[in-house]
Amino acid sequence: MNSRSILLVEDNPSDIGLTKRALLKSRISNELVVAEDGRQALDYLFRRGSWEGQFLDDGPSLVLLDLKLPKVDGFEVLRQIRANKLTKRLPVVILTSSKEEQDLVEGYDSGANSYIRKPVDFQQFSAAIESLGLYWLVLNEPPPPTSSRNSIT
Amino acid sequence: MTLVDFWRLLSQLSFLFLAATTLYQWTRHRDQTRLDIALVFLLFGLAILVQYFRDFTHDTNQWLDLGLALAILAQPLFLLRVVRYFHPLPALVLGSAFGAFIAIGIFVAITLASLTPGAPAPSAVAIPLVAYLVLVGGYASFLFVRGALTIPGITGKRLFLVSAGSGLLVLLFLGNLVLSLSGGTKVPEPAQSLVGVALQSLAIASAVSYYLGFSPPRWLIRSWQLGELQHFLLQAPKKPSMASSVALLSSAAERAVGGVSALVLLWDTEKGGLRAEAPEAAQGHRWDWKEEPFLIEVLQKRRPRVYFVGPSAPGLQTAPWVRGVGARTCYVLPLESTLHRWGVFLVALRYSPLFVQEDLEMLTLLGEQCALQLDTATLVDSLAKVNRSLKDRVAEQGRQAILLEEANKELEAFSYSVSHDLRSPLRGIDGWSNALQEDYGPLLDATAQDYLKRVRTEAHRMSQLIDDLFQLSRVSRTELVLAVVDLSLVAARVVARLKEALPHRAIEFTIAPRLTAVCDSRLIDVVLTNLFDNATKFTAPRALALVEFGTTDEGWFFVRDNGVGYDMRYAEKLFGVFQRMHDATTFPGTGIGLAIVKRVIQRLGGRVWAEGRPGEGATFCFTLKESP
Repeated sequence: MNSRSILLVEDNPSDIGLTKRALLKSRISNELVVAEDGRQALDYLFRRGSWEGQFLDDGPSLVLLDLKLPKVDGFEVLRQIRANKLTKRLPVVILTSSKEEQDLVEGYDSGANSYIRKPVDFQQFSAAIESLGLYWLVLNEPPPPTSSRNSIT
Repeated sequence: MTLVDFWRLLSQLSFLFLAATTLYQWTRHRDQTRLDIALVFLLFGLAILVQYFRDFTHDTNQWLDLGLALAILAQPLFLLRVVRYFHPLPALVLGSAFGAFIAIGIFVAITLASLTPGAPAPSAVAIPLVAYLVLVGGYASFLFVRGALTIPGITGKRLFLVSAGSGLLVLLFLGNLVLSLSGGTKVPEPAQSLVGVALQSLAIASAVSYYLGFSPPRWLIRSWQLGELQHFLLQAPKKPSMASSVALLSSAAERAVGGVSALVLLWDTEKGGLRAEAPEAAQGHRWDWKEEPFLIEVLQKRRPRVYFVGPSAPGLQTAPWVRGVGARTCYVLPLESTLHRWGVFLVALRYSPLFVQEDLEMLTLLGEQCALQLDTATLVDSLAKVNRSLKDRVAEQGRQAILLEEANKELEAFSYSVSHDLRSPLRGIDGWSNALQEDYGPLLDATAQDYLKRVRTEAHRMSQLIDDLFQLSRVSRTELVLAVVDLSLVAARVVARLKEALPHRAIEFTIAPRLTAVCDSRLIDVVLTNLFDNATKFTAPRALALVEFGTTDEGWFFVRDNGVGYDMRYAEKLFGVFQRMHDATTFPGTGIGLAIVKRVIQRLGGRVWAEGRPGEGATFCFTLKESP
């Protein structure tokens, strides 16, 4: 299993708790980094603001992205991820309550790798998180790191 | 026959013709004016005939001469009578003219009586005679000229011709007087006949002028009327309005017949009765036409009338107006077109009308034209009104559309927010209840466990409600994509999903093959899903559920089941939001499904209704918009 962190971009504390619980129950032990709004997420990904100069890992292996976020919304976060050459191949899974067609379209157009609607039922939610982890962290072959730190020049 | 003789014959014939035609006019219309006019020329004609008779019989009876003289002498007297129609004559004038007529008559009679039979009358006899003719005839002629100058329109033209006729006649008499005075002097032959021809030409010209003035031929009247009409039409404003048309009629009517004033009374549709519209002085004055016999007659028979305001004019409400403008005669005409009866108009004349028939003809023409203008004005008015209200309505619709669009956007934002933000706490409730159950389950007793289970069930139900409501709002918002859809195929897909979801139910689905319709495939999927859902739900108590989809003979689509059915009394409520016919425990559901079906069918331009009876199954029928 990929051991790099998972970035959860989510503003609702209850959902954060439930996601943590679901990950725990699915025995996904990767470090979970939580960003409570879009700017925090971008700061973390691009080593800015409070993250500047800190000792850093290779960056997350997966981003779980909510769409409705304070400050910078999910689509904008996604577009900036895709626009940056460090993160442009980073797997991003949209995890949201919305099933609106326009959100689906915009999500995929902005470069989401996957779109999952959070079920209300916790068991279903838990199952979704488990399969998601299994897929993206185990089955899926991650893109080679693009970070300049790791690239062999 | 010499040239003079021929000319004389011509002039005599023209006066005879004049007598005949004025007599004919009188026999046709039989009014006092025409009789007076006819008398003037009958006397002339009589004189000429007597002359012929004498020439033929070579009779020298002097009494015949007397008659001849009197006949000629009476002519200006009758002319003065005609003058009275348009100009007041003091009794003194008429009296003295008559007195002079009698005096000259006696003088001539005495002179003739003293003559020996066969001897020619002395020329002195002619002097007072001709002087009388010149004086009285000249005075009448002067009055005609004055009338012609003061009275406008056709009457003025005719008076002018008449005055020309009488003026020429006076000249003729003057010439004769001069000739008889110089009776002794010998005039060489060519000059004599020249003078003769000139005098006869004067007579012919006089006869022609009289003819044109007193009984003009139809074509002349027509051309004068056309002139007046043109005058009226040229003055008509480019953009007709009620006020301008009415004012124009008032002035044109006055002008055309030489009236003192004209009054236009229009129907007051709101308050009833007639309301004066023109002239300005009378504006707003109201008449109750029911009490006005002349107005009634004009309005009901649609025929013009003339009345004279004598000392007694009982019941004539317009009489004070006629007197007020200093008139004595009043024309009353209907003002109407084929479209609309506008009212009446009145024209007041100072004295009596000279040419009633022609005046009425002219006024009728003007009235018709004015009614047409009024029609146009109202049509233009109402058209403008319709235009304005249309513009207002379009603007209002534009505003409504903007409001509607805003409301739609708000609604969209609202439902988006509902589907997201309401779901999130539900997930929390379910998730943390689940956590409690899992982590602390062993510490909880059965009741607490049950409570927790209930909390979760309610959370699920709420979630389902949100989903259904969201779908309901979405079916109204999504754009229609119309195409020919194979309904049988859609139904088969729906059934396949249902079978998968309900593997343990024994349901026999029957789907009629090749049912097609023009509709939106996604929306019709929603309809069939809900109807089949409903059918399977309410057939749960049946050992073998039967669900059928097909068409009726009328071409309606139906979904029929052998379920518990429902009471027709509540059929109205069936398609309302949150309306449930059965208890939620036996037949779970949010009560939104049929509301969604109805919404979709309405959007597709069709109708949906249900038939059923408790315990005997239900049939849901729907139609779709007829394909074009």
